[in-house]
Amino acid sequence: MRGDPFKISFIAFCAALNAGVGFLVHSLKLPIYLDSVGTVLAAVLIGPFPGAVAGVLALLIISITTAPTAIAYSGTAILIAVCSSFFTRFKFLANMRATIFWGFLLGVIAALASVPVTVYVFRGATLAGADIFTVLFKATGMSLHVSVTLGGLLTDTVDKLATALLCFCLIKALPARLTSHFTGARILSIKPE
Amino acid sequence: MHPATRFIIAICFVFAALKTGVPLNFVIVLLGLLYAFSVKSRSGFNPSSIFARMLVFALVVLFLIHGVDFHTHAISQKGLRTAGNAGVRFASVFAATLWLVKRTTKEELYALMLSLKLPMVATLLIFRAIWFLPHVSKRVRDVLLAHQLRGVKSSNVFRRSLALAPALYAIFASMLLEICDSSVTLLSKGIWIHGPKSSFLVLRWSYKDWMAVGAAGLMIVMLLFKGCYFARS
Repeated sequence: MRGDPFKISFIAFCAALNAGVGFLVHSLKLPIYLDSVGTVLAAVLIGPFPGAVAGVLALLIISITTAPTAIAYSGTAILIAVCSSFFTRFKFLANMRATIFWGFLLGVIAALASVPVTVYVFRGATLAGADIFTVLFKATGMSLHVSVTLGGLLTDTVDKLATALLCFCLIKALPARLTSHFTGARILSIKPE
Repeated sequence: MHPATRFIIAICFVFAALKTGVPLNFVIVLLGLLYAFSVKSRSGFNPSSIFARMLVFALVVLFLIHGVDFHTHAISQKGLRTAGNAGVRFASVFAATLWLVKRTTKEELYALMLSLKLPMVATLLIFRAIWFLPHVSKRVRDVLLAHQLRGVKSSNVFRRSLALAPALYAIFASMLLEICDSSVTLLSKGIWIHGPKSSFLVLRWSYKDWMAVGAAGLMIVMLLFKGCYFARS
């Protein structure tokens, strides 16, 4: 099986961006992860399959460098890629209002998709900031399912909204000579508001 | 040792930790963790400190979620057992991954993927991503330094959030140019040309590998049928 070396390099870069952007966020002391920026960019600019590959590859890298349990969330990464690509039909990353709406929805989907893995495989621990909310909700007497779901919804919606807005800014700011490489550049032709 | 043997041993270790009961699984995982943390890294990459921090974080979170009853301010025995079992699951995966990461070199992994006849695209994707990671980290450091030198304000979360978009744009745009260059380099190096390459590592399957795989297989069979064995005896 052969492929376009540019696309292969871009998918690999998006995976590295997912894994490497954590350092940027940590340095700026921001309370978000942004570990799906590369997945969303690859899904929107090239397609859902490359986006899913970038997402899973990033989790593989995170698994061998930071948290070995991250690979269990591959399903969530694939879902994020598929949804991001599908949402572009409804002006996701084409205008600000649609980006905010679909970014928020992406967060809800990601949070709900992660719940079964967190509850049944890891008994509530995700090794991320959402764990603090899970502990807080559990301390108020809620069940593990509800605590994990609420914790995920609180953190993932903010995170994916920030991710969507960042991707929107990135795509709008790119010069035409760089965007011409991408098959999904049709959304880039829409002028910013 | 053949890298495939290492993967089989790591899988068997996790399987043994999950299938054996208390207190044997605690002993297995503890020994595995001690060995994984103390073993010397052959790969030039040692994530021991990061893994240790993450594992401690996971154990604390599991203890707080399951072990502590916040209404009665008491420690629940049943909750502690649940937290302990989940902790063993975490610790076994951490130990196996750490051992694999420390003992498997990039050359061995590349040779293994080729010998398994995985699609070239998959191999290339993994190794390009690994290649990009330090480049992205370096670019992040450069951009942050440039921001600091230009006096970008970072007094509160809002200001720092505003600094995020230009920082990420600088990283993304500069890396895109690098991707264009590197993709041309890949083509010119003949990535799609089949046949032996002079610099590839040749993996050999020795009698030690057969013994290790045999022992691992025997252990899995024993663990799978331990219920039948104990019921009969």
